[in-house]
Amino acid sequence: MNEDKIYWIWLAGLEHIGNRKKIALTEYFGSVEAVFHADVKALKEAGLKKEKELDAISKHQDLRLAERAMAFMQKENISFLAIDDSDYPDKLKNIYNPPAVIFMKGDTDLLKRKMSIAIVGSRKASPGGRKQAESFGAALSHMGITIVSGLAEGIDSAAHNGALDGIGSTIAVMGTGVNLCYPQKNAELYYRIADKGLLLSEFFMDEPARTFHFPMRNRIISGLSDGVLVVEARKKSGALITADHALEQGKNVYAIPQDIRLSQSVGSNKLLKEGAKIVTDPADVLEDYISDYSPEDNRQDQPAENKAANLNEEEQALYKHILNGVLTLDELEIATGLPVPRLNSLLMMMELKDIIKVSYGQISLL
Amino acid sequence: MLAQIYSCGLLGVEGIIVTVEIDLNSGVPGYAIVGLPDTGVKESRERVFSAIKNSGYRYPHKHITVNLAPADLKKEGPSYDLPIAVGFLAASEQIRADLSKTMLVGELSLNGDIKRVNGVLPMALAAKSAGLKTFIVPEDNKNEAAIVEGIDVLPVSNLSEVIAYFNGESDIAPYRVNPREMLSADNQNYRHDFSEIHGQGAAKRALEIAAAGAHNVLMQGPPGSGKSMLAKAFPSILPALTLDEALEITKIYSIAGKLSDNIMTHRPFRSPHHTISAVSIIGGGSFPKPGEVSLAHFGVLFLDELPEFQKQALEVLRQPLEDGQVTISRVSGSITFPSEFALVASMNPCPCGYFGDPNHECHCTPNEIRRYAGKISGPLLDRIDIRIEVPATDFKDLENRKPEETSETIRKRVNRARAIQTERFRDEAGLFFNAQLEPRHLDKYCELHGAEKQFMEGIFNKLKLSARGYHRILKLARTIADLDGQEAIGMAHLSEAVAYRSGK
Repeated sequence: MNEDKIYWIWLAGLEHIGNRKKIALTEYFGSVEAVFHADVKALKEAGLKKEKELDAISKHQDLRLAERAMAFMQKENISFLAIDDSDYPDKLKNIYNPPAVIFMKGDTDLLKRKMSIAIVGSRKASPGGRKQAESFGAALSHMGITIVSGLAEGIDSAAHNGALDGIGSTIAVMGTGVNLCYPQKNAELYYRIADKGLLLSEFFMDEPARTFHFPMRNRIISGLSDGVLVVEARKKSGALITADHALEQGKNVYAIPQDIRLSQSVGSNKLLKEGAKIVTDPADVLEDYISDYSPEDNRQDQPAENKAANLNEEEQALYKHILNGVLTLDELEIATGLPVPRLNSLLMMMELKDIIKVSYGQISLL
Repeated sequence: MLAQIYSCGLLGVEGIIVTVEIDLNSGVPGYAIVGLPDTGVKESRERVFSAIKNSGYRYPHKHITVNLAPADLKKEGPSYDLPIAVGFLAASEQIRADLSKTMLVGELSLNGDIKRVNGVLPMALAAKSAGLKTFIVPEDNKNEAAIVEGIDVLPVSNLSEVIAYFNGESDIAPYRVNPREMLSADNQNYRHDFSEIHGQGAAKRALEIAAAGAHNVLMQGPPGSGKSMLAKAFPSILPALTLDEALEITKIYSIAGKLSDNIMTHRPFRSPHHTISAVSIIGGGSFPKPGEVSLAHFGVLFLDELPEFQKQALEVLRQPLEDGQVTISRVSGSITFPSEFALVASMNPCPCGYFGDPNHECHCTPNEIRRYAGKISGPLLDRIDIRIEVPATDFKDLENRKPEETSETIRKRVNRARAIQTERFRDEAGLFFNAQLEPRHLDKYCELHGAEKQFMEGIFNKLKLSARGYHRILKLARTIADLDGQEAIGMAHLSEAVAYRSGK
């Protein structure tokens, strides 16, 4: 394999040839080196028809760029695995259209971990959803499960954040090359994952973000995982694509039930209707994988009332109304009879205690 | 023969006495007008000629020189028609009267009728301070001129009346008004009232605080949530106009030519469209005219869909927001217009508008949402103390469930809070409202003790506040405490202030 390395990088860097064709070519010629040396006639016989595809190889039979890329990878601590590598994760190899090459930055041992769960969801998540993703990520990671997600804003970031400090750590499957941070907003998270977790991408190191990359990387997210947990998803969320891939790959799909009034819950609730497993506690996920696991001993979720311990009397009264489903400011005003200034002040105190979050007049429980 | 007549020009919001000198010389009949007249002034010759003829008098067939002094001030507009006409008649001895204590303005039409002109109120003030006794004004301008006490205002509607008056053939009774009565008769009527808006309790409260402390407000919310309606009702909870304020606003509207024949009895509400240019916002032109910020003086400037405004138009708001006035520089000099307004701005949370609305799907990417909010520059946002989210209205709220508070009730609270501030800042020059508090004032007026201090330290760390954000919360808490009638800022005031904090 070692001598092949340079050719794999060369192959990964070729434009205009899809991932599936790249794999087919190496199989046809027997080795990636043979692909490199193949002439146009042989390539045509191998099934390449388009001028663009033929040019992509015949005009780039040159290893200088690949050599430079290799030097760069060494400098930046970027490693890579080709599909014929023994370390290439089996889970990924067995999916439809596995990536020919994956580039990685960070702790590559995470790929050898026994169990991993993907946590995915809406980029425009509610504060409550974000909190759920974070706490599920943290709880599962502390049980030694690696959390896989897509480094996007919202649910993805929250899941990574929660999982980073646990022993399971986290893998971010990126829609860009591993050397770029996208979205820029996640720069801090990106560096933390590079340090303690693993950044992974099938795209060349400096490949910028393109819209079609993101649905593509979703198959890797589910491929690397034993199950996919959807926290919040809108009607046409990318998280639903990940869930579809998971089903095709024979993985379990989980979803957290959400408030039916909110637009970011439409997709995840739809999954539940279609038969995804309802999850209200990390233990609900764990019991599917650990045979001697007795969920009742390890329930993490406490009845919400306990949270109210550090609230004063007035806040307690308000909190009861909120727990009973009075979730907008205007409704609270009528339910409690309190004047708006007082309500605003109490809600803010509760927000500062991390019990609720108010956004556009909607109160979410954390 | 030489005649000297007093008239008046405008420089910004001030009237400048202009002496119209007319000299008739023998020689080839001709006409020269000097003293930096613009085209409107030069054309007065034709109007004056016809007006004199059609009023039954003689136009002097001599070489005529008209000088408008001071000769270095540019003169504009048709308001010199009447003084020039009277000057011709005086120079040709068709009028024999002492004109040294009289000021005249007015535009003539060809048949001798006198039409309204702009800026009569500042002119009357200038006439009074120059020690003139009578001010002859077009009939349509009589109300604004008569506000000024201590000068006789004589309304006239045609040239014949003026001539008859000067020749002692008839008398014109000085016109008098009582501006106080005009003000109190009309200033309780507002077009929109808070009781018409159902729900939105939090937004109403935020506006109440804004009114009490003269804070600027930014409302963010999906379309149809009632942002514009709230803004339109905002003037109804502002403290009633005082006479001095009413006069100052009337002055601005007078020079802008936007005064209907009365004085301004309401706080102005200006809502320029978002295509407005920077010049229209702050004012300008070769004879600078007040812009929207000055027309909103002592009132409300409402900028609907803030991010849609041109960047330039928003950035020029900084000076008026900071200083309460705008200075416009032209070759001829710089002119300062007052612009002490309350800024109320509204915006959608994202390009499609529906982010945060539980009933509609928002199609924007997080990036687009961030970029949309980023269109408002930091320095401008820094000058807006209250930034609130206005939620989409629920159908249930539109039904009448309980009587809403009227603007009058809210205004009473606002007035009380303002009175407290006036009393508190009595010894501070130029400081009237809590919104004007600078960091150096905060120790004195917003001192915190014990538990409150600890609470704010906690908040400072938890919310990662900037120093500016921290000050903003203190200022708001001060206003909330004033509304509450409390001298010390308490826990409830602070936590409520945090709820209106900016940039959550």
